[in-house]
Order: sequence, then C-alpha cells, then structure tokens
Amino acid sequence: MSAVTAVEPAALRVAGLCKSFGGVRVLRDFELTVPAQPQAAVAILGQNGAGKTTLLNLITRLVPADAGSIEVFGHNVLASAARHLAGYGVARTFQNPRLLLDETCLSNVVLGAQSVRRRRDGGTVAAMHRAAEALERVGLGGQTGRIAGTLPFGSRKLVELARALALRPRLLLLDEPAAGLSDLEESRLAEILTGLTDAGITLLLIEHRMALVAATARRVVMMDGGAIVFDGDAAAAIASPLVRERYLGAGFDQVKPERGKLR
Amino acid sequence: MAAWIARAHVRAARTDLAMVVVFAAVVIFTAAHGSDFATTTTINFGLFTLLTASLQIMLGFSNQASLTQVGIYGVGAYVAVYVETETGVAMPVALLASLAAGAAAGLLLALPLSRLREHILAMGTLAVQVILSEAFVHLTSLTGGVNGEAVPDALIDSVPVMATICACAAGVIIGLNHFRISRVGRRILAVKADETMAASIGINVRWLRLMAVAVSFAVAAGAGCLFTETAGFISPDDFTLTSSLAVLVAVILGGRSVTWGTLAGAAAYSVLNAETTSLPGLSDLLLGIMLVVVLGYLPSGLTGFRVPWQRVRLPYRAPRASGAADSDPTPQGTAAAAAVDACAHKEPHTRPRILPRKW
Repeated sequence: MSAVTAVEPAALRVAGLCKSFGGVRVLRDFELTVPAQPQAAVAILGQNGAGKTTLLNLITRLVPADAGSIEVFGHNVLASAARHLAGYGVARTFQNPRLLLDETCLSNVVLGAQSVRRRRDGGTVAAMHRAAEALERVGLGGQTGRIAGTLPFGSRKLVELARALALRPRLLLLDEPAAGLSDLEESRLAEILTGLTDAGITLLLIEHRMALVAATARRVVMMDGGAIVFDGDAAAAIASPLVRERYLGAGFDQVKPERGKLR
Repeated sequence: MAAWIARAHVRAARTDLAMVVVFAAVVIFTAAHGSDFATTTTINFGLFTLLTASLQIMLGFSNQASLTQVGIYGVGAYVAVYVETETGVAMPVALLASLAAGAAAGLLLALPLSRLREHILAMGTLAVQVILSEAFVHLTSLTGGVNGEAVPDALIDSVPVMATICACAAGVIIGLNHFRISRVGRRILAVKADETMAASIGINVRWLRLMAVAVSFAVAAGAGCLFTETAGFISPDDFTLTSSLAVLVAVILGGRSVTWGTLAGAAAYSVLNAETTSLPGLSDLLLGIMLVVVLGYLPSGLTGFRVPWQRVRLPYRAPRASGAADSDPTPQGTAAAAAVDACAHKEPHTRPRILPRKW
C-alpha cells in the first residue's frame, strides 16, 4: 500500500478560518483537524461568545466565512451551499430544536431520511423504516405517531438528533445537546452518543455539561477569544490549570472522567 | 409495501371526493337553473378558485405572499388571445402557451424576487402587478390598450366552458391535496416552516421556492386562458391590483388548508361579489371588513378550526419481525410494532388552535 493513496481525508479540517460580525472578531485564524479514524467524539468547550456556535454555523454554511478553508472528508465546504453538506456526510442539530411542531415525530425524521438520495434507497416506505429506526436509536421508538409539538423539550432534542441520524452522517455536529435536559435525559443522551461513536460516527459537540463531555468525548478542545487554547483528553482538560481558570472555575471537582458512565 | 403510502393518499382521497361532489353539485345546480346570472357567477367562482389555489401554492406551501396573481392571470389571457388570433390554433394549444408563459414569467420574476421575504416580497410583487397593469394599457400593439382585445370564437356564459373551468379548479385542488403528502410537498412545507432547518438537512430551499412561484404563476396564467374563452373580450380593467388584493384576501379568509381553505375563500368572495354587483365597491368594503374580523378573531381563517385533523399524517406501522411476506430486517419487531400501535391511537392535542400562526 503506497503512502500517498492510503491517506484518508480528515473528517474535518479547518484552517486559517476568520469570521467577524461587524467589529467583533469571533474567529481568528482558527485551526482544527478531526481525523476520520478512529471515530470519536470531540467536545468543544468555551465561554459564551467564544465562537463555538459560529464555528458550527460556518462549517454548515449557515453563515459565510471571511477567510480560511474548511474541508469535510476532502470536500471544500466554502465552495458548497448549505444543502450540499448532507451529501458529504455531515449533519447537525441546533441548540434549540427546529422541528415541524405540527407534524408527527416520524414525519419530521422522514424529512431527514428522504433528504439525500442514494442508490438502492427505496422509496418513501424504506425512508419511513429508516426514520423509525433512527427514532428507535435515540430511544423514541414508541413515539413515532406523536405530534412533535406535544413532546417535552428533551424529547424534541432527541427527535432532532434522530432526524440528523436519518441523514446517515459520518460527521455529526451537535450544538449543546444536553442544554435544557434533566439529569436522567442527560445520562441517556450520553449512552446514545457513546453508541453513535461506536457505530462509526465522528461527533463534534459543543457542550457545557462536563459530565456529558467526560462520559462521551475522547478529545476536548477549549476555545477562547476565537482560537483554541487547550487540546487534550477529558481528564487532562479537567486537570488543566488553564481550563480551570478560564472555564470550569477553581473549585470544579464534580465529575469522574469515566467513558460511557455518568457519576 | 407501498400500501402505507397509498393509505395516506387514500385518506386524502376522501377530500378529493368531497371536492368533486362540491364542484359537480355547483355545476349541475347552475346548469339546471339555466340563468345567465347563475352561469356567470359559477364561472367567476371557478376562475377565482383557480387564482386562489395558485396563490396557495406560493403562500400556503412556501410562505411567499404575492400581489401579482391577477397580473399573471392577465398575461395568460393576453398570450392566449395573441396565440389564437395570430395562429388560429384551438383553445387547448393556447392553454399550453399560457401555462408556459406563466411558468416563464414565474422563473423570470422569482430570480430577483427570491432574495425578498415576507411582506417585503409582497411589496415587490405589488410593484410587478403595477408594472403589468401599465404594460397592459400601454403595449397597445400586443394588448389593444384600453380598448382591449376581442377573443375569437369565445363561448360566452356557456355551460360546457363553465363545467371545464370547474373541473380544472377541482383538479388543481385535488392535485394540491396530494402534492402535500408527496416527498417534494413535505420538503417545501419544511422550507415554509424553517428555511435554516431545511437547508441543514439538505433541502434545496432556493430551488423549491423558485418552483413554487413558477407553478403558481403557470396555474394563474392557465386560469387567464380559460377566462378568455368565457369573456369574449379582455381589457386591462380585468387585471387590476384590486383583484390581486382580493385573491390574497380570499386566501387569508379561507385559511391555511390548501383544499377547504381555497374553496371557502373563493366561495366567500364569489358570493359576495355576485350579491353586490349593483353596488360596485361594496364587495371590496365587505371583504375588507371580513378580513379584519377573520384576522382578529379567527387568525387561521374560516377553515382554521379544521387544522388538528388536517395534518399530514404518514400512516406507518413498523415491520413485523416474523412476517414471511415482509422481509425488512429491522430488529425491533413486534414489541416496537405494539408500542407504535399503542401510541398511534392517542391523539394528544385536538383542541382548536386560537393563537395566530405563521403563514
């Protein structure tokens, strides 16, 4: 096997990315590479306004970049439109779930399942099976016929996660998946996310709940002032004086970093 | 396999049947009545239903308000008359020409207008309507100016034309009813609900909005062609901004439902118009009052109370694990199916909505 052809493009390669909103520089020369192998979860920490969500919006082309380059699985993102991302194997969720609240959970997820057409996909019925399967995966298998607007907030987030999974992504971007969830929902989410990385999906999650980060993420990146100030594993992040000083607080000792389990 | 999807369409077919019955009843009653007044009223109702349906395609499916439907209706009418007088072709060919002209106008206008949203888009389309009204008056070589154009071989107030128009109106509503359930229909409804979300799951927002305008304008232009067949004479007075406003009001009046809402809005306007022919302007006044009342007290329109059971439902049952005929390899078998069935019968929210909803 020659060394030249064997190199698999990284799941995500961000280089020299700059973004300003008016006079506020949100990202400056931002660099981040997430390898495609092994599939793992990468958590992004940072204070409010550190540019985390902006980074996600830039990757998914919801806001235009000022300069730099973004590649996912070798595709040039900045030369594509938002709708192409799903075809590249990228899906995302939003901090506040964006669902069709008048429609059933299944209809919502079918939208994702039917979005990217691949060969041998079958028709709408096959898409409905895939959607039901995705709902099953997030633990909502019994709620297919439920109107999304009648679900509690935590379940809506899971429906959105199922819709993203129905796109069959290889890279899944999650914007604060645990925000607004109860402790029980959070520990269920941790199990789901661990299952996803085991199933070969690379996760990039923005998260403030350190318990979830410690339970799922193998790598932790901290953003401050539009750049990465820390990059290491979860235990190192909690131990790091820099992260403690700028983000966690000096008295932080709540989680034991143990992958796959909470508390 | 395809039975589940078929079931969604079968469920929708009940509405289709109701539409056919309603339009057939109107046509038969009018034909039996036999007066010119009744025929004219029904023809106006059919044409107005087509216009309302055309706006539903834009407003109801993709949240694009338009005040230029009647202008495009006029384009369709003038194209039909031009084609018929210049080439002497039969009406169906002229109809195709009108449809093509409408779609072309839609694509042409949607390119600059696609950057606009909501009420600013409405202002943009209003400008288009004003331009078209002026064009109809001043492009005298094509439109005959204020003197208008005579339509060759028109069948004024004839029952067959009335029946054709009503059949077209019913057909368009039935088409919309099934389009709503289709893959593209549900995707465009997702665009209507949340463009950012739609783009994030790979939906081509711009294309769908563009197609909505093109199809909407094609339907409006087709209605214009049908109008020429029954009018015998067309002039710029038939295609004014006031009429465009009336179409928008009818859609809002009718409500969100693309089937019953379209019908109710068009029927309300047509009846109002027919009853007040002796007092010009009174129908506009009454329509305005009705609009204020509806927006204030029934924000989802006359058919708004139907919304809870007008939802698009994809009837779905999880595949059975042990079923020999059904070889889908989903691991969660009968347990999941039982859970789905148990949930399918719960109807959590059936109370009528009173809060204003986004169009």
